Amino acid sequence: MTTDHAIALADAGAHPDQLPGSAPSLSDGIDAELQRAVERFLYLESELLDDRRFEEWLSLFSEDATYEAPLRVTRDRQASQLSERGRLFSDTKATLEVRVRRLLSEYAWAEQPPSRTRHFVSNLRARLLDDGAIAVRSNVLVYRNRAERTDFELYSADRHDELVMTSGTARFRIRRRWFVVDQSNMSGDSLSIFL
Amino acid sequence: MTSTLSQTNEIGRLLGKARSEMADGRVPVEIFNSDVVFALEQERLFQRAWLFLAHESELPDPGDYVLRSLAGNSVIVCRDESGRIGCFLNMCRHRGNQVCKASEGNASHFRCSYHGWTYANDGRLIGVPHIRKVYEPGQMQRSDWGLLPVRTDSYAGLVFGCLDPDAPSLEDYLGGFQFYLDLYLRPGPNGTEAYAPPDRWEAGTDWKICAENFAGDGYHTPVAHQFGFELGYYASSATTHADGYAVHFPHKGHGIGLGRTPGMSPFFGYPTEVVEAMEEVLSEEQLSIFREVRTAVGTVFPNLSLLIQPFSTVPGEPGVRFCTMRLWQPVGVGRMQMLSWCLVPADASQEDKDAAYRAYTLAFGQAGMFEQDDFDNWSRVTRMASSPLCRDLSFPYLMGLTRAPLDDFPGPGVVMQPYMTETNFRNLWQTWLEYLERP
Ligand code: FES
Ligand SMILES: [Fe+2]
Repeated sequence: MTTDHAIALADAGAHPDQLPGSAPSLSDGIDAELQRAVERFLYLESELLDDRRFEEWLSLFSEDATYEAPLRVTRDRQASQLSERGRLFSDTKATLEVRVRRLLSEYAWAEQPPSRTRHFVSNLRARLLDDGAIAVRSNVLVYRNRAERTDFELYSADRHDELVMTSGTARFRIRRRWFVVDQSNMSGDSLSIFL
Repeated sequence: MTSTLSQTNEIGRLLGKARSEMADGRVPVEIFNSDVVFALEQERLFQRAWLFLAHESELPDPGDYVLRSLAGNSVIVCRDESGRIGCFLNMCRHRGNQVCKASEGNASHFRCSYHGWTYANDGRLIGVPHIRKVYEPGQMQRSDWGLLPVRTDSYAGLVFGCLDPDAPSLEDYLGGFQFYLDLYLRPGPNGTEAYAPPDRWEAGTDWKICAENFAGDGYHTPVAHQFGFELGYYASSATTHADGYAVHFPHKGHGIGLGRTPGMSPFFGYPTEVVEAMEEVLSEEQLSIFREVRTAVGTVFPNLSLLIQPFSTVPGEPGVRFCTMRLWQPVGVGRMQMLSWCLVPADASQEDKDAAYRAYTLAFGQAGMFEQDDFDNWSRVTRMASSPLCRDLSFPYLMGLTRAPLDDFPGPGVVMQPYMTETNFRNLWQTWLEYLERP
């Protein structure tokens, strides 16, 4: 686990103003080439999700990866808008694998027929962490439509990733994904997709 | 509800049909998505029944509050300075603004953002701006204009509210179901706590489908949640899943399914410290039943449900026990808001509480895998139930119709075997109809 101070604050459900990377700054310690490589990696990751290539998607996570989404709560202005302990997802790579195994089976009824998703990733802000990993904050918008319906869900999220560099073709592995959906009363019968 | 003649006729037709169908073990399809039923439920059921508001552990300190919905009314549930939990309509008595806008927090008082009337957290009106200048002496009595209180009562940490002053006490209302609720709510001397705020979402599902399912639908599990069986994450097998009991309380509506897995060890999947804590507080009769329960899934009439089951992330292992409590709140015809909590034994170690919560998020909550399976089915049922062709159709509720209840079971209520049966549901619908028929 990281010892990065800003990320530790985010763990504690800190006030949004104190989330990592929120102070306006140019990409810290990241040159244009690296920034582009990070972007490409996240676009590739989105593509794997939208194409439902879940096993390949899972392989982008390091073995010690965590995948976590605190619950939003509607509180007064002075208080944190994130639940300290409540989680929409509270996963490790092992539990993500359980979810993926299910999705690949013929019994994931909520995904039969499958959701049509499109992940849009933007507003990338990357900075180098002390241990050489890269913290990336991005805005994510996910479109999801089902069957013959004309209505759809749109989930907007504030996403914080930590990427470690590897020698493989993807160049990075996700060791930490932490995101907050911008809704405290969620829409959609269920959330059978990844963000 | 203002009724025109045609509405009155429609209500009469619907209730008449429901009564005659239920006499034969059938339930009309149309009740699962109907504007007439929705309005009638709001008026005759939700105005009268005891409805769940909050878990006491959500309000540990004086001033803590949560905003909840009670029969469509926004209400504040809060702990006052003396430690008492009260419930008030979230409406300023001056012109009706909402005095509380957050879903949870801590406040010594609620100040209205319209003209500034201020209420203490026990509901008293304590501040009226310019009171001496704008009202004649003695005209404005603050004591006449406190927040509107709602009748509340609690059992084992669960706070309920009721809008009917003539309704029986909560104890009468639960009517013996407490014996089984204790499995969820009294797993030790200190009961349970809500691990986190509830997951909340809105779904295109009629609340009754969920309330029925959680009154003990062991029949759906091997199919709807087949992944758990096939991939080994759930300690049951399709061939033995019918094993166990179904218990209901006539005219109360409550029902619970108690599923067993033959050959399982007593209290499997529970941490040792929790088993010891349970043995301290539960009766011999309770323990003798609960010891062998794999799944306990029950509904407190009308729309609060609880479930305990194990879930394993390693195929073939018994897994970890978690408990979820959920409130199925109708918000429109064929639509509901879901509030889903994870309850953990207060006497469990922090590590075991965390593990139970992680198992809960994997299985339940909006992104939970069991939850996904269920809601996809339920929303499709809801959509079909408004189909014009459904008007003459009913569903069969025939399982266990002519079977005799057990007479040697150590627990109260009407007890049926096996776990897979529909007697709990027939009682649920019968009770539902009794409320709706009462003008
Ligand atoms: S509406 Fe609240 S003070 Fe007027
Ligand atoms: Fe289910």
